[in-house]
Amino acid sequence: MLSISNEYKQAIYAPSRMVKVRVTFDISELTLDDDVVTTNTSSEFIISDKQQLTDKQRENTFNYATLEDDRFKLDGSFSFADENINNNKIVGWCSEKLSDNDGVFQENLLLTFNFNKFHSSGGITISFDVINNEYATDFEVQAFNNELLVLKVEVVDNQDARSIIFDEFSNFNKIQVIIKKWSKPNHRARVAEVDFGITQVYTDEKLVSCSLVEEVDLMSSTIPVSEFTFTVENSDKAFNILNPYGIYKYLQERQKIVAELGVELENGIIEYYPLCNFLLRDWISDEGSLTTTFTARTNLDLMETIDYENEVAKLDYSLYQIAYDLFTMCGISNFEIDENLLTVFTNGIISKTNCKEALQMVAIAGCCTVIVTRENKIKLQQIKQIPNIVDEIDLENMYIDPQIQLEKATKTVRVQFYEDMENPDFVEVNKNNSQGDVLSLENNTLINSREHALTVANWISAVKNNRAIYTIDWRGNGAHELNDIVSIENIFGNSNRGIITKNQLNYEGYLSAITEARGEVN
Amino acid sequence: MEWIEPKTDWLPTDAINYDDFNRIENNISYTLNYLKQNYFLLPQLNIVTNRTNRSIDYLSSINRIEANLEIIKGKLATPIDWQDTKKWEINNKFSYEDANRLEESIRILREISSLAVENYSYCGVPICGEGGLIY
Repeated sequence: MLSISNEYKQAIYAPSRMVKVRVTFDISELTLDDDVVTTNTSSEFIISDKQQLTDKQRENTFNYATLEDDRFKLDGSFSFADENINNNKIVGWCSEKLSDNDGVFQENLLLTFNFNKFHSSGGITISFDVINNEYATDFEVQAFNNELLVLKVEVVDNQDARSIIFDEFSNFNKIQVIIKKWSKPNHRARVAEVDFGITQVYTDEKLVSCSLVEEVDLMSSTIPVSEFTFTVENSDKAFNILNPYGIYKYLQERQKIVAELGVELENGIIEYYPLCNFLLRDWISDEGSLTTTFTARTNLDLMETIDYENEVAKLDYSLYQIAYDLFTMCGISNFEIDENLLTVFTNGIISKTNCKEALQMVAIAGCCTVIVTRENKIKLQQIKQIPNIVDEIDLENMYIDPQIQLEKATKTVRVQFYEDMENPDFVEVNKNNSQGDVLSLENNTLINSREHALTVANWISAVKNNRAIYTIDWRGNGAHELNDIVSIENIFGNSNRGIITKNQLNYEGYLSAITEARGEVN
Repeated sequence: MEWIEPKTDWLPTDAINYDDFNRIENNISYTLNYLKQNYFLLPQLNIVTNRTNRSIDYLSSINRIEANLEIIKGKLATPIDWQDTKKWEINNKFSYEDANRLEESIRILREISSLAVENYSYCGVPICGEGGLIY
């Protein structure tokens, strides 16, 4: 379960609750992300980090109090900064100088970004102090090709804390933002992020609906792909392919989509938690309903497109190393491999397949589940100890009584192993029940000994004990994660324990969820 | 250093400024000096009253203010309506309730300081009269 505040916990199960979703869609050229070479700015305040101007964090982690005129509001939104600057996490950039009584900076403030390569973009997005709705009212953006000014856009009377400058920024390798006037007198200028593309933030005004489906297979017999879908209003036809002034032409697969789910707390503040940080997969505009729907997926999609094959037996090769090699081969750095796999060895022979299927073989041979977190981190995780119950889903929060379905019992688990690649052998684990299916695991060439096969068979046998599948149609809690253990109240006055294997969160101005959990038969 | 009347009616819609924090610390300093002048043994406290709108108060600053209140209170009887001080950590939110508590705390400390000094019985001084002690 995500780490949540007590206030959130109270608000999410309150009889009356206000839930919001915010989707940030980064429509930038993909190569821009890693290409900012230097960032130079006018002098900074002590709580400031100019390197965070391009870190894709468009809001500060905490709302730090400073003593500029009437800035430190007593609505419970501000906190005190730590003297150890690193503890303050994302602070963005903050100017040393304050605006005057009219909000004007006596000397213009400069933010300069230099790139290695030349880039083009349909716009620039500047996120000022979004949390406090403060912004530069008058500013300028200049684009340079080497030192030649190729575009200058002057903005006057801006009223958005997240300002998008739509224009053709072509072949630039330097961008300069010049801040002249701030929305508040006697305040510092604050900029959380500069995106060298169009970053749209969709809230209820334009967000029609969205849905997150995340799933885990406890036995890794499949590796389900998490998916986030959202539909936005497109009455301005910005996403229409034929619109010459639209932004359709800037859409690219694997552009970043970040969604957050927020709950209004008792003090009126909306506390947001991550819903997904996925990559754009496809998009479709519906001319009839004037909407556009986008689908985002995880890095597992990428693994499916890359082939893998190893026909040479290796020595001292661990499952950890294979998984590490697979991720590296796919250019994925956001992963976590259970360290227990360091001591599970294999000859590493895998006939031609793709990286996702190879990862599945590693997961099964390592008795692991594969989970993709909301931050798009792929985790290979052994679940050995039964974790504690993290939350209770009670009848008051369900739309209908929880449904329970029993999967067929398993009588025998048979696992094939490959000491000799030409003549595989197998082991069997018989369960106590005389009736049931025989479950057979074949063709996993990473299992190379009888002992290893027996370990896998016992693991499968234990996982198959979770035969009861609970389906709960309820109000939902965005903080629940896959593999969380929850207690599910039933109509007979008691509760069942289940491990969350599927979560479908739907938002259409309100949140609802269909959660699937697996547990043992009582 | 003069006493400045505390503001004890902060609302969520208010903003607190540098001069408000200066006032809180000024009043702590006033009460500290008053007790010291009347022979209470108190340590030298670190007090800041020169903030401007360019200043910043860190966690250590607010914790220092809270600690100073505790030190003064430690020399006096705990008042009935005393609200406990806080230990501030990262991302603890400061609200109008905290501002009211700080201002109210120093107002209470000043009141009971006065009472404590007025009721101080000096050795060798004859005190008599209605309701008083006779030595």
